[in-house]
Amino acid sequence: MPGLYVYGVVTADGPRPDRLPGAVGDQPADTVCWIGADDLPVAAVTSPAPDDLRGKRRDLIAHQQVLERLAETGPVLPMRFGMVAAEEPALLANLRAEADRYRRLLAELAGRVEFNLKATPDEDQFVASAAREPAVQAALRTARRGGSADRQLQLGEAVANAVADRRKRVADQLLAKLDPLVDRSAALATGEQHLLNAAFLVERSQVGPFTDQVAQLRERLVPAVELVLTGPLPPYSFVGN
Amino acid sequence: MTAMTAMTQQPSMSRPRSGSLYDVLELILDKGLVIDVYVRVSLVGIELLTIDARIVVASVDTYLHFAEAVNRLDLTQNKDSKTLDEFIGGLTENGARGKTKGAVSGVTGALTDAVQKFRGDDDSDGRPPARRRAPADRPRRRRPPEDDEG
Repeated sequence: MPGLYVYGVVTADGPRPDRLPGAVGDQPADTVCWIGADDLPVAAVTSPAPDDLRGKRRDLIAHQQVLERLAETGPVLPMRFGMVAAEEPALLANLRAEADRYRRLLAELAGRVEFNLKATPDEDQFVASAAREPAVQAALRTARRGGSADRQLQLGEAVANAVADRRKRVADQLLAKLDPLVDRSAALATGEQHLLNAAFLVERSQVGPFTDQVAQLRERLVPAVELVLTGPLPPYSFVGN
Repeated sequence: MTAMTAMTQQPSMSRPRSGSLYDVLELILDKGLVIDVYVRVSLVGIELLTIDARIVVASVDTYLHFAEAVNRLDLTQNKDSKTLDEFIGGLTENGARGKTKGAVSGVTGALTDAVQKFRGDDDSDGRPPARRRAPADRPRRRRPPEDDEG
C-alpha cells in the first residue's frame, strides 16, 4: 500500500523543526516532507509509506517522536497512527476542503500542550477504607457469624460498592483540583486498573502550576493512589473528532 | 491473519520512562485526527483489541474477590489507608462536581489489556493477544472457595 504516511497537519508558514527523528517504516528522517500549496494556510507532514507498514513498536515510536518534535516547534494536529493518503493530489484535496477547520483548530491549540494523567488505586488501601464504612461493617459482622456463601456474596457486594464509590470520589476530587489550571479536560477509557485516565489541555504558562499541583496530589495520595503524569504531548485528545 | 514470524527483537519498554510508549499508546491508536478518505494501515492485533471495549459488570466473581480481600485484611495493620479517607473526606468542602459524572466512570478494560499485552510483547504487530475475562486479569491472591468460614 504505497502512499503518503501522514503524521499531522501544521500551519503552512510555521517554523519547522531543525532535526527530526527517523520516519515510520525505518525510513531516515530526511524522508519526512511537508506537503502544501501556495494558496493553503495549512500543510501536512508526511513521509513515504512503506508497502509493509503494519504498526510495529518502532513505527509507533517514530510516529510519536516526529509529532513530539513538531509540537515543540508549533501547533500541530496529530493524526491517529496509521493514516495513509493514497497520493499527493488526494492529500491536497483534503487540506483544501478542510483548510478552515484545520486552521481554526490549530489556532485554538496554539501555545497549549496535552498531559495525560492516570490514577491507579491500591486495592488493599481501598478495601481497608471500604471496611470502615458502616454498611460494610454490618455485612462483615453478619458474614462472620456464619459464613454461608450467600453472606460472603453480600459482603463482597458491599465492599465492591464502597470501593467503587471511593474510586469515583477520588477521580472527581482530582478533576476538581486540576480543573482551574487547565483549558480543557477529556475523560479517556478507564479499566479496572485506573480510577481516572484523563487528558488535559494546558496552556504553556500553566504547565508549571499544573505539574506542581499534580505533584502535591501525588504526595497526598501516596500510598492509596499512584498518579502517573505523561507529557507534554501533542494534543491527540483535543483535535475534535 | 497474515503470518508474521521474523520479527526483530526489541527491548521491552520500561514503564517509568517519561512519555514511554506504554503511557501514550492509547492516544496514538485511539485519539488523534482521523481523515475518512485516507486508508488506515492494518494494525491487525492491536486494532482489534482497542475496539473490543468490554464492559466490566459487577459479578459474582467480583463480589467473591472483594469478600476475600476484606476477609484477609488485617484492619489493625492499615494505618496508611487513612490517607484515602482524608483525601475523600475533603470532598464535601469543595462540593462534588457533577460535570464529570459518567464520563470518568466508563468501564472498559480492553484497551488497558491491549496496552499491557502490547507492553510485554516483542512483535506486537502480529497476533491478537488472547482474550481474557474480567476480573481475572487483576492480580489476585485467591483462596480456595471452602475458606469462607474465615
